[in-house]
Amino acid sequence: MTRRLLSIAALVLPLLGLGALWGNTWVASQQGTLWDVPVRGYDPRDLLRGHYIRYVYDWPGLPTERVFLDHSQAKLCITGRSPIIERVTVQNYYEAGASAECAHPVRARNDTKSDIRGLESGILYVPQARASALEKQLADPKLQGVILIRVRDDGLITPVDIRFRPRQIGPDVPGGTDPALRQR
Amino acid sequence: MSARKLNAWESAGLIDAETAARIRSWEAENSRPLAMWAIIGLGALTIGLGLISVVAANWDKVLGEVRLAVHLAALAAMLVAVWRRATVNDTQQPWLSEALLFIAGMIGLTFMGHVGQVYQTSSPLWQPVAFWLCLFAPLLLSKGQSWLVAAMIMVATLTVIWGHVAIYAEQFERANRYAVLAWYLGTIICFPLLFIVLGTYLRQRSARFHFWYRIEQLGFAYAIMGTSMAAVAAGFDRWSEDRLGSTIWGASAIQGVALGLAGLAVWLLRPTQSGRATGAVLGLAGVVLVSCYPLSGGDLLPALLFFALWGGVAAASLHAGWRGVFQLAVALLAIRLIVLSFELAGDLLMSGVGLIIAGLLILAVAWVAVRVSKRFAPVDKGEVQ
Repeated sequence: MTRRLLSIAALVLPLLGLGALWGNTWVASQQGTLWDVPVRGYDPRDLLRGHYIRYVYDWPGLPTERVFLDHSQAKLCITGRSPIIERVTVQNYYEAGASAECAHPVRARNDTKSDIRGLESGILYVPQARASALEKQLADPKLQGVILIRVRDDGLITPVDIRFRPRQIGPDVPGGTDPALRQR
Repeated sequence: MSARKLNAWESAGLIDAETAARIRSWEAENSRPLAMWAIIGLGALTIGLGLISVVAANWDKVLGEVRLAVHLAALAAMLVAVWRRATVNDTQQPWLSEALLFIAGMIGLTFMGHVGQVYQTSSPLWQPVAFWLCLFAPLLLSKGQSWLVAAMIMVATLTVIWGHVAIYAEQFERANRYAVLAWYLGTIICFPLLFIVLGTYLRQRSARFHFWYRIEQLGFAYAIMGTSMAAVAAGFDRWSEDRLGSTIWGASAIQGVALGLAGLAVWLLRPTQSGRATGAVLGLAGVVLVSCYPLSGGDLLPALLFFALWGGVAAASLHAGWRGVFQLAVALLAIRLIVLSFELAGDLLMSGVGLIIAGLLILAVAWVAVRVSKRFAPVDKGEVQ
């Protein structure tokens, strides 16, 4: 009898566990604050990796050179009203003077490779039918890609969707400092 | 069974008329309408493929939650099928239960990837695989029949271990926590040695001998392959003498002790020729692994480590009657010997005469290896001892 019960438990455990994972992920997907972040293609020759679009964040207010963002301890602070970001300031230990008071902190994941889910770059799963169109739009210099991200209360980022708007070219616009664009 | 063949055998005098008649009547009673089954099967396959392609073409338009529900329902259906197979006496078709179990496992694994796609979450590969192992291990370990499920468990375990190491070894190193790193590498990499002990213990006590035999075998193969790689790596370069180097030595010492303990456990748990041979080889592998660091660099000493390990494997194979393993050992020893000859006399490749000598050497080693492998390979005693 005990054997039979254990056997049933072994069969039910995968269903319960995966169901709980689903529920947990769903709840997490409903929480947090939404923000629009301008992005550009990760590598113009290789934007798609399987089903995933790879992109680099162009955080408003941060210089383009920011190698420190792939560090696992990196933190940013968003100022603005969801979903519009006014500016972003660095909050990691490279700048110890940064304010500890931050209404909307964002942090890097420290348990994974930096190019997957850091503050520097990310990936977005897209259906096959949409992928090639998105790849073209992301490579188009006249368009600015904007990723809608969800920032959970613990500061981790989940991308939600990508859309495009006409790009304004100028040094004061995020992504506008790109020399390749200014030559056009 | 063709009647034409039967007539031919009868007229050739291979079987007598009475036997032929008995075969005919047995075939008539036991024949299955193969053609009809084939047509029914073809029809079912066509409908199935059609359904799959209709769903696949519109898959992205289906709401994520609906897709996940379908996926989970498929898992439930497969688990019910596994349950039904387990309640019937499945000595007739153990491969069917095995296949169902494997498919259930794969559906479970892909479900996590599917959740990631729908909710745009992602995590390092080892995390979902570790979660999957926690959920499915009780089922797989209690119902597995053969190498398919055993290999599934082993591959998943290695994915978790090496995926974890790939991320955290670097983090410990960056944080200068070398003592922690040595213990971490020393223990986590040895985890599959538990498979050897578990398989050895359960293969005689469980009704599913083949499954536990495969589990033990996979763990053993992992241990010997890992030690071989360390012995090969010891030949590349002198391992560094800084803190990272001593960390690696510390880790390999812990692993060597773990190999020794696993060998002792097998030796005690399975006092047969094969069990004793397995235990002895594991102990030898422990000694070889600990020696890799101090003997690294140079040409001859690391090669001797490799020869010691695989020479031991060959001797154990002779003792225990593992035919295939013996032949593998002889082949690897021959290859390492050829590599060593080039390491010791690298200028052989620089001149025409040298090339000829090198070619002759390779042929001679290969010839000896094939002769030894054929002549001395033990008759396979099979797995049951």
